[in-house]
Amino acid sequence: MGNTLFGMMNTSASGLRTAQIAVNVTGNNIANANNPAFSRQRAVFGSAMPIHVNGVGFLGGGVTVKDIQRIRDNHLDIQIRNETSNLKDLEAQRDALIQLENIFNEPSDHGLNQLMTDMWNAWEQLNNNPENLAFQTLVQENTRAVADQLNLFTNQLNGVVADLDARQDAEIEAAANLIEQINELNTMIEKAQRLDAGNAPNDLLDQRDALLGELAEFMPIEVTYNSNHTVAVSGITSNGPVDVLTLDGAGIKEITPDLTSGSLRGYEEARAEVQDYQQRLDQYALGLATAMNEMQVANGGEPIFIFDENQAAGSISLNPELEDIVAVSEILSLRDTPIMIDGQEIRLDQFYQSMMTDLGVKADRTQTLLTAQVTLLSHLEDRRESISGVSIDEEMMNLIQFQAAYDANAQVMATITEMIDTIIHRLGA
Amino acid sequence: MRITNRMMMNSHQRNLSRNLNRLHRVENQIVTGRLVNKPSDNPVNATRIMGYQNQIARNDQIKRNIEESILFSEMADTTLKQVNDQMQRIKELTMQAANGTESDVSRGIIADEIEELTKAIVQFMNVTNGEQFIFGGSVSNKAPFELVDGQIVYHGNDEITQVSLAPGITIGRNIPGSQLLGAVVVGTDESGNDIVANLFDTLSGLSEAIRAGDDEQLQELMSHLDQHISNISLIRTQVGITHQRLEMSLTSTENINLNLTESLSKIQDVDFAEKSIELAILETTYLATIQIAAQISRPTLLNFLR
Repeated sequence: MGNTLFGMMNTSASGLRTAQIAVNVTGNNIANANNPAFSRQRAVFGSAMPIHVNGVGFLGGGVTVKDIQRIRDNHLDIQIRNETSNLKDLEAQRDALIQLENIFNEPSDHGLNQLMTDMWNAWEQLNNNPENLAFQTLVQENTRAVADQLNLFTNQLNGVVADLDARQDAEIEAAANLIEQINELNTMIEKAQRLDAGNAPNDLLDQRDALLGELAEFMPIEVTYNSNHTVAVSGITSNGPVDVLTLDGAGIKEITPDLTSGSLRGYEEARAEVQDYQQRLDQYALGLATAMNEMQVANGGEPIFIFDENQAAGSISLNPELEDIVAVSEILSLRDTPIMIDGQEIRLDQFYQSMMTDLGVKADRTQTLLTAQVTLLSHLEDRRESISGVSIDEEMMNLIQFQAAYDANAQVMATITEMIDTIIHRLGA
Repeated sequence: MRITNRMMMNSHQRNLSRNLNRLHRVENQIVTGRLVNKPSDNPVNATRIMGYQNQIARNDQIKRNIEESILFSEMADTTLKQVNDQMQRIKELTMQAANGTESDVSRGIIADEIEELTKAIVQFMNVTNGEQFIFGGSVSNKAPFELVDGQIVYHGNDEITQVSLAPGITIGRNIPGSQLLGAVVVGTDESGNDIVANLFDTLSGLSEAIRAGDDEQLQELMSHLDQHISNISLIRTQVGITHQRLEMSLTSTENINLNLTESLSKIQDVDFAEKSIELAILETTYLATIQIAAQISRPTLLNFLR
């Protein structure tokens, strides 16, 4: 058949067809040049079945498009997803630490450090002028200011925790939504597979990869690719992998505390961090109030502070029944004497300052890690872009090449037409 | 490596944001004038700054304590000098009365004068600093001395207010009035305990003895008066020593605060010259980055086709 003129026409037609498909693929690439989820595609050409001609041998039967290939490195995707989870984990922690730094507002002229100094100075003035009523008032007001500040800190820290809870809940919903979409795509991809088992629905795969990338922001995931192009997705928890495709919002919430990275995990850590500072602040308030009250009561006065022992910083306030401060010099000595705070003998100012050093070191270290993580991730993303990204120059060159191929095949066809014309008209005449 | 247009765009975006971040940080430092605005800027220095701030504010308070105490001691010194002057005058009068040539009338006049001088001494000893009586111990809102029928009544107590000169170091600021009264042993009672006379006992005894012309008694009381005079002198010396110590502490506190302020400044304050240069360099980098960003839509092959 192949060596008939009409057979030759088929060969050229296959060339035209493949060139057309290739132009189509190129056009699709250019159209998606700025779509971040898109991976460039390539039409893979293959030879058509050759034809055996007696006495001649095998003649080529034209060209076919064997596959529309998606150019993507799955291993790179795995790395990017893992590092994204780590980045988002750090980011959530860093944000909370910045909020803590803003709340404590040290070093400044308005922080607790300064309020304490003002308070002790007032005590000293009263100590120098024991009978002076004005200094009694001054001391009580300055002491009240410290209690108020501790209350304010507690409110603000509670606010941060509430904010973290709200964010986490919102992201759990977002993750549940992503999982739903991944499931839908899995179903669509499976259907497409049944339609055409040999070829992959590239654009659906791109969409799903994008969703998996987004899901990795919330939690660390492990993706297993099945032979029919569907995926299984496991969330990595400290108790091992958990199939997340079957989970709804409530299910995700349940595994959230055990996740090993991702923003959901980051919120857990951030919350623990904030609660740790709350607890230290409570211990500070407890130490201060207990020591002052003890001195005052031992000298026959009313307690200076009233507070709830379990949440001292939030509940501390000046005793409304307090009349006069009687243990002035004794209480003033607390400024320089280590007292019992959180089971250790330490001065009040030292305790608070070491809290701030600790906060500074943590915030600094988290920021450094985050910066390194951002760099790492952007290198990986550059590599992915290098492999999967669309280059306009490249596509234009392909376009020229395929257009030329199309022209050339059309030229062959025109030649065959002339040959047929020769046979029909010239030979018959 | 295969480079695509989007890769270049991404990397420019990253660089732009990194440069802006640095610029923001330096600008913030210049605007606030501080190198450390939050603990993570420099965790170690942040704590040192807090410590320095505490110490400086505390020393300021100590300085105020000392200045106030200096005022106290100066006032005490002046008062004691006045008291001493009155006592010297009383001594002269007593000696005049004791030479045995004075008539009853002039002895009466002398006794009257001594009684007036005694009242003046009480008045001097009730001196106030502002509204505070300085010789009442810790009782500062009530005149410490009152003469009732020639007998002195002391309304104060023996408290000495300790003022801190440095953390852990204190000094007694006031002299309790009871010390000014003094105690001269004038005999022993039946059970062998000393009988003592205070300054005003002696003074009222003097005027009585002069009126009565009791020379023997007068001689004895004059020796008591001498003892009271030396008691007051001794207290004046003590006040002088306290005053000197306060002045020294004031100088050293001022010096310490100068040093602390300098140390704080070294780690906290922005060196504007240095930061301005840093800012200029960062601005140049930033400008270059946005210029390149503007050129990033480089022509593609497309521009040369056709």
